[in-house]
Amino acid sequence: MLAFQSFEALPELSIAPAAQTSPLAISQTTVSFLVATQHAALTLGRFRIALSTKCRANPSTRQVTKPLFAFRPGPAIMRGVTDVVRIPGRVFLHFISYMGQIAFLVRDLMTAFSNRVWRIGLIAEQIVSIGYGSQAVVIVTGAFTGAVFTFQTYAKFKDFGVESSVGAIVSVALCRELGPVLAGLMVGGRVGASMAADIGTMKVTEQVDALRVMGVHPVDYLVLPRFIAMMFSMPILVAESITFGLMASYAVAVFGYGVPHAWFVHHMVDHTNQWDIVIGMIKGFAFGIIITLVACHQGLRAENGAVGVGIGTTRAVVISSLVMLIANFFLSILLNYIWPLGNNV
Amino acid sequence: MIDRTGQPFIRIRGLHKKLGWQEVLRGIDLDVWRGETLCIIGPSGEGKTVTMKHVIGLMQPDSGTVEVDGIQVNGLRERELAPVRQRVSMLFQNAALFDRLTVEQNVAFPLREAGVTDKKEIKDRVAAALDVVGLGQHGQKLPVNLSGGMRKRAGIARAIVGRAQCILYDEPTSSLDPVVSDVIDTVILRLQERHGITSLVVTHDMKSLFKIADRIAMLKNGLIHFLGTKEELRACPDKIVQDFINGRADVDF
Repeated sequence: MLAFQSFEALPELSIAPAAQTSPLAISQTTVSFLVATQHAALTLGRFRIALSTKCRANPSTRQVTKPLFAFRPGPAIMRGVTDVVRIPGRVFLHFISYMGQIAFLVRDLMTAFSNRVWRIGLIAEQIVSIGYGSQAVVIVTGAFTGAVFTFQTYAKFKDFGVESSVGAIVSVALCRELGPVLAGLMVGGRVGASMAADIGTMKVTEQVDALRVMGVHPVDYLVLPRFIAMMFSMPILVAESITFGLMASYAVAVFGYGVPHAWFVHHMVDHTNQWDIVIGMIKGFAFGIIITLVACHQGLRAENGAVGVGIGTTRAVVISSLVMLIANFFLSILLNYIWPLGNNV
Repeated sequence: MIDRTGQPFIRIRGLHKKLGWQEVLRGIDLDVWRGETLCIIGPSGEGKTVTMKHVIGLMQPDSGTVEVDGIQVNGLRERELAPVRQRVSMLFQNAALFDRLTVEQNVAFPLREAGVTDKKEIKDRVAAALDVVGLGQHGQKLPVNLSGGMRKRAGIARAIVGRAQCILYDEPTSSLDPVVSDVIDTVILRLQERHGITSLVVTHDMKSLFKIADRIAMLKNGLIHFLGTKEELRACPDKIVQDFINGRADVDF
């Protein structure tokens, strides 16, 4: 509670030595840094606009700058030269701005958490929508991925005479990578799009403003229940995806290719430990956070009517999918090398 | 009854606002007295709704001050605006009812969020609010099943159920037929007369304007172009004012 209060007092960023000790403090520092960066970007933007306006308005400035631009190599070349700086610069500024907006959303979300106003009905509704509603998609995805992976792996393993080990490789791959990533992508497509469209429609039809007018913070009402529901649902969905993937793998290997039941199960159990499952759950949890933040952010910033909602929905799916894949790489490094979990390193 | 003693309920001073590169408001000064109905008119895009959104803290000014019942609204954070939003409510142009909730649930929403937990009290207050706007029989309907006029009336019910002292109406009669518009006007008048509610109304509907307004402010080029009573508006010799209220376009095709 104290940590949340002190966190709220930011963005006057100060990195005390104690702030680097706990994960919460590290996350606070990161968010604060992003908030501060956002402020800096806004200030820089304003300064740039003010400077350009002043320069245009002031003839003496124009005279001073004139000799600098006396050599004009031609519009196409100039455009090419300036684009080299401008385009990466614009991308960088957009990235900083985006991260700043996400940081503000995280700050509001933490404040919502610290207020401890739980709308149980809304959370339950979202669990049904996200968790229960995504089961079919996740199960089918997991099952067919497991089946196809077994099918392909068996063919190659047979060349080396180790086809009975197919259960081991499929199990580890499903637990550590395929299960969480594919479940994340499917849930991102289904739920992320729905979240962005729902909130975006509310935004462009002034329902979000109506919430604010009634003294309800949109993050408290719209984002927090979805966030909690996602935290609850995503690990379970990943577990389902892995389970059905393994069942399909077993069916293909044992009933399809005739791998002995005992060998398949023995290799699978022998090479899969609880940390593989834990890693899958951690990844599912992280992907849930990514999907919710990206989708809700796109919804809350939607504007310009139906077109804006469409753009926001598309961006929600694309950005969350890309961020999940990138995050998966770094999570794999983190959980295999920096904080290794299990003995698969 | 308009109370012109003491401080105005809404006090706007030197309000400036830029949206992108466009300077929408260029120094608005406006007072709305307790119990008064002040209508804001003016061409589209002149900042009428923007002015209104500043009053309830949906927008923050670039400069200037906005006070509501003595509380300075500008500069407050979202979570610090609760005292203002207990006093002031708003009817949005499209009513902004929540699609998934019934009319009754929509009207009960501000009460539940304000922490009222007594089910009987909520039911009674919702029924009373719906009766004021003549929607007592339609409480179980979803917004999608309501006509435009009924939606606006449900929006008014939601605005008054929390016993707000002031209601901001953003084009309450837009896209409604004349009869339904008259119903909405009657509701606004009734709220003023019976409950002493202060109203700030943005409208393009001249018939409605002359029925409900105590005073009228006309915005033009980001400034108050005219401020006065209905009689003063009718008698105003200014061509822009007369063209606007009589719907005359100075164009040659």
